[in-house]
Amino acid sequence: MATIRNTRLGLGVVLAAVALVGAGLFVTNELRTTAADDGSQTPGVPSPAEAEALLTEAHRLAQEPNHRDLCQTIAQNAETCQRVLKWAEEAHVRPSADRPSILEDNVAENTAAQQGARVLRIRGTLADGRSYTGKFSAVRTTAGEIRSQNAVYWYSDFATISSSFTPA
Amino acid sequence: MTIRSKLAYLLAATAMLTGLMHDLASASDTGATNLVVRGIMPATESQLIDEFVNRVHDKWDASIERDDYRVIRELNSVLVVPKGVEPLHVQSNGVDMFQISGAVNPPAGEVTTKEDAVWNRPVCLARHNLANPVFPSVIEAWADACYAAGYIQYPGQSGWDAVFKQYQTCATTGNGLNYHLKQCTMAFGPVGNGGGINFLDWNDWSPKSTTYMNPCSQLNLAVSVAGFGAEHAISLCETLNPVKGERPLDFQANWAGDAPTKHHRETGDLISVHNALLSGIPYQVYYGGMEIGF
Repeated sequence: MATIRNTRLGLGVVLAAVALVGAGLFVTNELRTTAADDGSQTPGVPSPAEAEALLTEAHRLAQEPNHRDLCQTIAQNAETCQRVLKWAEEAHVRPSADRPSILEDNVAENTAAQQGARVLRIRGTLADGRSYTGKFSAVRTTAGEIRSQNAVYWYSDFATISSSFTPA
Repeated sequence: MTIRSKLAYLLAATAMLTGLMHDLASASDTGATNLVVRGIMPATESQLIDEFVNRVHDKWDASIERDDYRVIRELNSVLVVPKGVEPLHVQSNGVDMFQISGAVNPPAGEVTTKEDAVWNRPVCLARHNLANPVFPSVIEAWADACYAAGYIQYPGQSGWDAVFKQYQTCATTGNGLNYHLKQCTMAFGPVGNGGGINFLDWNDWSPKSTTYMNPCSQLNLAVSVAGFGAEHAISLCETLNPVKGERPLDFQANWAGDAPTKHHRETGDLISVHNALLSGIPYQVYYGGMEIGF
């Protein structure tokens, strides 16, 4: 009886495996199609709407006392974020209550030198009334989350290597 | 073996198979295998390739042809790369890095005396991912870096004094072959050899000597110019090795150690140069320098 049960179980498992492989290939194909449909040449780069939503959430969290959740929730690397946040606090630079406006958005290509990103060019005002322009990045992590490489957008700028970059 | 564990194995195998097919397709049609994974092992070239092939087999149960790979030796580093692929190089002291240009200007308008450095907006750089050379969608390690430039003002100043700080966090991901992080490097450098660089001189730099910390501790960096200064701190584990060049701005911060998979390591430095002219100072930032091994 035990042998028969195992055989049935084995057959079921094989069928399940075939189904899973099929499902996996289907999902993979779907993900590729979705990435291609967003108009970008870089699969996985967040859409303009996703990047703007991240900026909106970053701005909301930046208004909280001590920016408690900004680095944990928005930043791709919380350590980097906390370091830059410390620099901003030391320089007494804080964001105003108004969310920065988006001037344009671009895609930084996914290359050997950098992770593909949606880069928003933004203009905003600081708490002391001064205005600034800069860039805010949005990337899709390997875990599928949308995060920023410069979550402290009111103080840090963002840079990519231009496509014309050539090794020295 | 329970049903649950059988299903777990099947799920894992399915995921690997799907990922493997995707990886192999990507590798063949994007040419994305021009990334290298550095291994630091005192072994023959044949042993190095065998080690790599075996690890790929053990991890993904996939077979790759050892004849498709070659070994490149550079100074103290060893690269295992697919044949026909040339590593993308920006080299500084034997470390592959990527470069980006910047410029810092002297203080504008009325001069006011300040004790502390005045920093411009820092720049954070796009994450550099180090991919597995065989499976390009598998990220083995990453580096996040930021840098900032500024100036120091003081009474009686002639020309002006620029300050630069940078730091970088590196880590292996454990998504692939459970590499350890062996090196994490970032650097500043001058632009070219002529023009304005002739009017630059070193003021100060930090760290000044190779520093070792165990357990991990905060390393305070500081530069002083005519009694005024700037400070910067990083979290240091194991060894930070500064490499200062003769040319002003030529400075590399090289973390070296053996960090377990997924453990983060930080490198950074703080430097200052004097410009005899009231002109801007162009500079280069080098980042993403990593070595991973077993």
